[in-house]
Amino acid sequence: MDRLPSRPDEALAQRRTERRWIPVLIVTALILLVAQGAKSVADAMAGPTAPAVEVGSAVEIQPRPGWDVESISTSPPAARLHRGTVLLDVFVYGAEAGGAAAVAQRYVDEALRPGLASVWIGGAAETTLAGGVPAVRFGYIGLTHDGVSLEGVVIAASGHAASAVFDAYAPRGSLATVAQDLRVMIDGAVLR
Amino acid sequence: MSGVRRAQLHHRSLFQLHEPAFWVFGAFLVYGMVRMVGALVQLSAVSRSGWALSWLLLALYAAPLFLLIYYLDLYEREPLSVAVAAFLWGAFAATALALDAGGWDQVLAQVAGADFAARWAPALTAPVVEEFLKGAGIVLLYLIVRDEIDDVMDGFVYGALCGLGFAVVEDVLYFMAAFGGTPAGVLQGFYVRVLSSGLYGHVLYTGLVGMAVGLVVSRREPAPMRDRLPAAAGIVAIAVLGHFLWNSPLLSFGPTPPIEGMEWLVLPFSLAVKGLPLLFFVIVALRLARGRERRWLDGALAGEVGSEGLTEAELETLRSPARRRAAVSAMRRRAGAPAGRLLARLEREQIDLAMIASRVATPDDPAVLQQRDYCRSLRDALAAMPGAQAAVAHTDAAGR
Repeated sequence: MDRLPSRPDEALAQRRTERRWIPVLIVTALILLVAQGAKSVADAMAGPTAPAVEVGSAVEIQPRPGWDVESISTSPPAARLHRGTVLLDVFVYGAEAGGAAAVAQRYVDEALRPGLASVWIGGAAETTLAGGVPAVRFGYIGLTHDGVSLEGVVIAASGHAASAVFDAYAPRGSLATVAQDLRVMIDGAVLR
Repeated sequence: MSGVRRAQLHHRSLFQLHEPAFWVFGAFLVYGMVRMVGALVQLSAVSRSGWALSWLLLALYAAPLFLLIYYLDLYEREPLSVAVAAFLWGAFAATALALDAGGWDQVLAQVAGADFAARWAPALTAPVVEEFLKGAGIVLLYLIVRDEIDDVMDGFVYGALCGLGFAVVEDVLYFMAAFGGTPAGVLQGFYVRVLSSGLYGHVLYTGLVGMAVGLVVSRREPAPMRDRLPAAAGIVAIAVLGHFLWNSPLLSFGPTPPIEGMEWLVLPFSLAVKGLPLLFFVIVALRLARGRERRWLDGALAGEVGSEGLTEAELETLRSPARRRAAVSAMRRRAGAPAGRLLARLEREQIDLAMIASRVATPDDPAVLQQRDYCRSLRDALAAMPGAQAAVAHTDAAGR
């Protein structure tokens, strides 16, 4: 049907305002589709938020929405969570007399360096987990044996009865997108 | 009634409260600021000194680059409020929305497998999503101040500023998350992401996206829309392709971590393999855009030379930004700072005369007549200032 002519008494400014809204609404809808649509599709594919994960009866971590539990093992006590291409490995060890720094050093020597073709370790900074458990945090950049460039963050914590390592890593460029999720999950993790 | 009103022509601020796009832009910006400021403040807990050092180093990088981009447009200075808004959109709105859109990596992992996604997600999803979200900000800015983005150079300026804002906040996230956040890690990150590769990233990609927006909305462009749209799509495709190549594992010849000794010196050259082709492309595109602007100025003012708004000598000065600056400088030296400011004002108004002349149907349109008269009155006022005539004569002689 042809567009009806405007009423002679219709305000020109009003018609102009209506036209100004159309491109704005289109751009807004596209922004929301690209930004929030991804979350909706990903959440729909990921299913409901996973329940809290217990690792070796010593660590409890609550996955954020969108995070899936890929595996949990009891021997050695470990768990792997992932969101898209970001992986979060949680390992539980025995108590470490040398404190969090020693746990971190042991993880670098026994897991990171042997597990990657090459790795650059950043400087360590002190932090804490839930309940004030002392921990150290450092970043790293590495290359896997099959050539994928990774960036990662490790938080090593030392409690009275056990120690734990949280290793979050992803292909270059992806880790920053979940930085907030990681902080909430790891800072809120309970080490008994 | 004239189709062009001088007040609508230029130098409009961002704050067009009657434009719906202003409120949408503001809403996304506030959302992004709340989301990103919260995330950035949380990251400061990693290392306060590293966090402060990140901002200090990035300010040293971003401030001169902001000015360089801002002064790229030879004939027209963009309103500062709009330029800052483009930067803030990139820094907060686009980064926050890009974090929200991180779910596309997850979708890719579910569809194509975790191994494929691990290798290719940064190259396949980020370029499309991020360039769209940054470009959407430029489109919203256009819808707020339509007269301020009317050529490819305008589009590049706003796009590049938006990309610069995005790069700054993304770099802080990288320094604190991927490089450990300590002062030593931040320095390493600054070397890798800014000193070695700061010329190739978001500034170029989004500058190109802005150029495409400018090409589509330009009112100076004689080509019909059916020719402009494919050209604009091609420019966006090149921006996305450049971003894809940068994020992909292809052409990665550089040293692998741990980088030690002489490898630090090799790193910038290996990164240049990926970044330089796009940088050269953008330099060529900018030179073409400048040539286009100069031709537009010549065409728009061809009928004005000899009128009361513009003399032949003034046009010669106007065509060259260096000569314009020299003329203002000479005027300031010989007749004082107020005379220098008045000459700069006259030059700006003569550029506006070109804008008006190019948008009206006839040379005797009332808007053109009014602007000519205004230019003449400024010239008369300048001539009445002691020492100004001698400065004009000196500039004319130097120009010849």
